[in-house]
Amino acid sequence: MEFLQYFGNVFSVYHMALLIGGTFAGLILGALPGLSPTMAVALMIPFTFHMEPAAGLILLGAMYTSTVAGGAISAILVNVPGAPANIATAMDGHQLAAKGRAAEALHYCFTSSFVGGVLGILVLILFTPPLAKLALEFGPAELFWIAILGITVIGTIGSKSVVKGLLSGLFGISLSTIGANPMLGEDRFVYSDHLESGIHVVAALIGLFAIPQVLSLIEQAHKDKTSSVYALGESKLVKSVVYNLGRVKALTIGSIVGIVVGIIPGAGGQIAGLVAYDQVKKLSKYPSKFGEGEPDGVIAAESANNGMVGPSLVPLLTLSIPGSPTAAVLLGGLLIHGLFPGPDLFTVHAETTWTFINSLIVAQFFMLIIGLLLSQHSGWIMKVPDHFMAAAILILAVFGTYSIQTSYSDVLIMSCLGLIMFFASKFGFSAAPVVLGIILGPIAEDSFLQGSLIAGSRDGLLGYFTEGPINIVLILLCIVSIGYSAYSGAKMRKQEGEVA
Amino acid sequence: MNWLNSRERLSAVWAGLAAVLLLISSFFNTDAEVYLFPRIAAVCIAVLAAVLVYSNISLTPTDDQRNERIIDWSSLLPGLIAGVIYILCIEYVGFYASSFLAFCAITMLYGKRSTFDAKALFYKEVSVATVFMIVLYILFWKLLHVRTPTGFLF
Repeated sequence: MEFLQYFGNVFSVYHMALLIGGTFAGLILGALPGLSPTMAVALMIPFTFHMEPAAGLILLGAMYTSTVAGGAISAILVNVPGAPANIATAMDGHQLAAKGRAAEALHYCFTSSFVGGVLGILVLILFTPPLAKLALEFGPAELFWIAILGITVIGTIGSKSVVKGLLSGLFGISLSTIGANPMLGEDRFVYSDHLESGIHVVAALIGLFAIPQVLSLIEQAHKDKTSSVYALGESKLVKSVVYNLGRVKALTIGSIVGIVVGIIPGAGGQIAGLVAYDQVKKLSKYPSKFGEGEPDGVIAAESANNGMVGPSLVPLLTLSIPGSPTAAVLLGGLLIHGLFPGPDLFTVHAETTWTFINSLIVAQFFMLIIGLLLSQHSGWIMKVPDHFMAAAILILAVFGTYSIQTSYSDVLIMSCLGLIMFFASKFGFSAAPVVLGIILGPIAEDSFLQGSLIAGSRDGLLGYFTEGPINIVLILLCIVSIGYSAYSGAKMRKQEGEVA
Repeated sequence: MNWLNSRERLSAVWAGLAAVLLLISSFFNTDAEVYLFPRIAAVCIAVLAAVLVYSNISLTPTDDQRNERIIDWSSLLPGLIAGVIYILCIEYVGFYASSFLAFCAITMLYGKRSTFDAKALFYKEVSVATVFMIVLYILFWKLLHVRTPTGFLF
């Protein structure tokens, strides 16, 4: 019960201020349709650069938790999910709003998110220490395959096209090799002075997530938006919360699905919400009511997408494999504070790590309280015009990037990467595998080079990288994730062809 | 050119071009030991790009796929140009001044306005830009102590 030892650290004035501020900002940013949780957390990372590691992680963790929950506000009021995780919420949440029960739907959202979130964090507390101990068994070969597995999983499960997902991940790895060779010190791909220090992971994060969002908002700014914001309506808070807590089946299904999906690397909240919605509909006595304003649909989806948050950090904190794209961004946040996933997090940096994890539990309470208060006044958030958001995000991205190393080169690199990613996303390539390639590429390369040196005196390269049960399991997992995604993609294309 | 009339085929072409570029930059006139890992990545990218090109050769795009508009250039271009000018001028004009001008430019370019309320909207956009820049100044200059280049303005 080591986490109890550091529980008190969360309740310092500074940490509580960051928790409350991060939760409030996360709910607002999550509610804005133009901002994804991934982008919001990426934009926040430069601000944490100047903080103590524990404080920075507390802020990022609070934002991660609350942006996912905040996305339900726009999903319900305007039928535009604030985050991909809220797609399932919109299916019944918006119908409730159409019936004048928007406030009630929002109460269900935050209560369910709280329940799922707390259960998810408890799983995080239980599973990370034993998995971190397992990571002690990892040598260079295992670390290499872990890095490849991370990129493979998020490139295949997290993308619509297996080939494009893998291409994105490999492109990220190529970008990570810009700069000095880690062993020999010689420059690679340094065609300009701006590339001498390589690509900073935070500049890449902001460029790959924020700039494409800015350009998308600008591109759609001229479009007429005919959807109106539904009024909140009246709702008795206590009655809604009691009703919600009584929907045990929906809460249980949602939380379990969220936990299982969260632990699977790369899957993310979008899948959790949709799977939970689907399951609760199948197991309901009244499946025909779903899609017409059935509260269980909202309850299951929201408990799943917040229940996913804690478990998505399990593979991240132990094996450097993020459970979701936002967790991938959080990995960047860990690295800039000098915290490397693995057993050291729970030994050398135990105080920081457990303070961060404990803060996630406390963040659930603030998310519930602030979310329920905000739900009464959230209509105004929807009325922020796209072009104002685009301008604000662009300028925040520039300032945030510059503040990392006070280097204009970072700003230029951020802008170029963002531009490339915007056009690439139009052709079906996604940012999350690229980011993971940039983050895990150096780990893969270092492990590969170390392993090559060891292999030279042993069984040769192939023998060293394929021996041992852990290596074999990791290689098999890479093959299974590629194979499964390729099979699912082929099946979907065949079904679309039949329908056409 | 008819072959390039769909999103998927264009994506294959761009992936192929990127792969060729990476192969050239990794293999041409470079040290084998220094560029070992980038070469491995470039070869893997080339293989996957070839798979993508091959899989798109046989696909026949539907009429919808042929006619779809991938990028709305008329909407995007003004903001894109404003953003590029902003990034290029930021060091010479100054971070805060150029950011203020960029904010005003983007909101004015994309704000819906009629002749009747054009003046009111102008004041609204300038006011919001001013408040935003003041908040950024307090946050970055005063709280985080990030000193940005001032250029010939600020």
